[in-house]
Amino acid sequence: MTSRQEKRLIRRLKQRDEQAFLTIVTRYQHKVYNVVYRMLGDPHEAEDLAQEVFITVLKNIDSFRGESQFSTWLTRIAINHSKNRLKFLKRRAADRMQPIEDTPEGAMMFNPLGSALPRPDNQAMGHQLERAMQNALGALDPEHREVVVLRDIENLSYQEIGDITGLTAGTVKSRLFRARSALKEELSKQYDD
Amino acid sequence: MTTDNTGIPDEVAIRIMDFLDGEMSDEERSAFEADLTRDPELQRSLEALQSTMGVVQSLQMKFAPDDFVREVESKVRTRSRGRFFGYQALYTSRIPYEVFAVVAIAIMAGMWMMSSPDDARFSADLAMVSDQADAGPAGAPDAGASRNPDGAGAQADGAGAQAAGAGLPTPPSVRPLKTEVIEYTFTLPADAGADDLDKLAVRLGATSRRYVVERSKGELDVTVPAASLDGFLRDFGQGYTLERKTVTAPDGGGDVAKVRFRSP
Repeated sequence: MTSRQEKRLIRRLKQRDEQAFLTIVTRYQHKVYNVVYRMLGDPHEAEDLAQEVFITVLKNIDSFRGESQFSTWLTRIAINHSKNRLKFLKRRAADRMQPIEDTPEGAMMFNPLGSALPRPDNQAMGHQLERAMQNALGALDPEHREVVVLRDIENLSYQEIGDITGLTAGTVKSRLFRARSALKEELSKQYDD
Repeated sequence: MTTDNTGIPDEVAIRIMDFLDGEMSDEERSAFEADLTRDPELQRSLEALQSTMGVVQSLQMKFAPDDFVREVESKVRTRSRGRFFGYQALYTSRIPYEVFAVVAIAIMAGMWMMSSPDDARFSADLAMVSDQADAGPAGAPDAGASRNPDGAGAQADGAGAQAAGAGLPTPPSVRPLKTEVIEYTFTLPADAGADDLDKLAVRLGATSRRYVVERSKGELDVTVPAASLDGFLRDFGQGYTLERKTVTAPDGGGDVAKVRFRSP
């Protein structure tokens, strides 16, 4: 989709054109879902939250002035929703005296491999690695997680990550360095266990 | 300067990131590679970071469920009850009101038409009388004079539609009101004699007791219930020149119209 087509689509969306909205959802659904899933680590939570992201887009499309790319704006909404959901899940777990390990986030934080990890003889190694990496991601704090997701999974530039997070490029780089270091530590811990 | 449990300051962290991203100039790169050869710990950190990056970047994209778009659409509709989208609003909120309005207007129009059949007839009669007045009898003054017998003349002519109505019977907008008396004066054809008025008086008296007929010299005045005026005009107003019409509201004026037939 060219920039001009996208602008036209957004203009139509601002006019409450449902077909334009559905086109945008169809086009960006996987990107949004992927970001949200990597942030939350739970497919059900991710699906629900990704839907909320698009509803937020619809509600707030008038505030999109085209100063950044639409996909950047959309990703910022997805990241902010994800961080809020993580806070909510953590608070809910605390309110209910529910062990944090029982929440999707907690499962990743406190049980990175354990019984949840499929046995190697049942699953391919790639699947194990995927699971281990997702668990390690879940063990990062949300600020570190977001830069890893945006840079290493979404392949965004430092400028785009800065637009989304509000950080300078230098801060993004140093934070990413520390996030990757922490991720390496988490993975090492899992495999040492 | 920020450090974490790696003990690496921000500046060094940024250098490592620039090296990994290939964003160093040749000089910076050479200097960094020299540091790597001197510092095995830095070398190991770099390799571990590279391998971690490789694993993260190899993660497969997670795809949204097949029914994701439909679910979003459903959620939007449920929450907004059709307010978000134009055509949704059209079908869910506007149409019933529009249909209701159209039906209400149709009902009111139907009731009005059923309740005033005389009005329609009256209008038709007036049009007929108007045509006759415009055409005038043979030998009568020209149409312009016929329309403006009182000399309303240029003033009326310049008033467009008003002028057209100056010499015509009462338009529907001034149909008989309960407090008004409508007066019509018809002039009989030039070749009519005095006995024509007598014949007309007899004919009127024989037709209906509702008409009050007063015969005087050269004139025949008929008082007609306003409700019967249209029928009266249809039956007796034809063949005469409408000379004058006035609408008055006299004290105690009632539900009547007065029509005067005059010998030429």
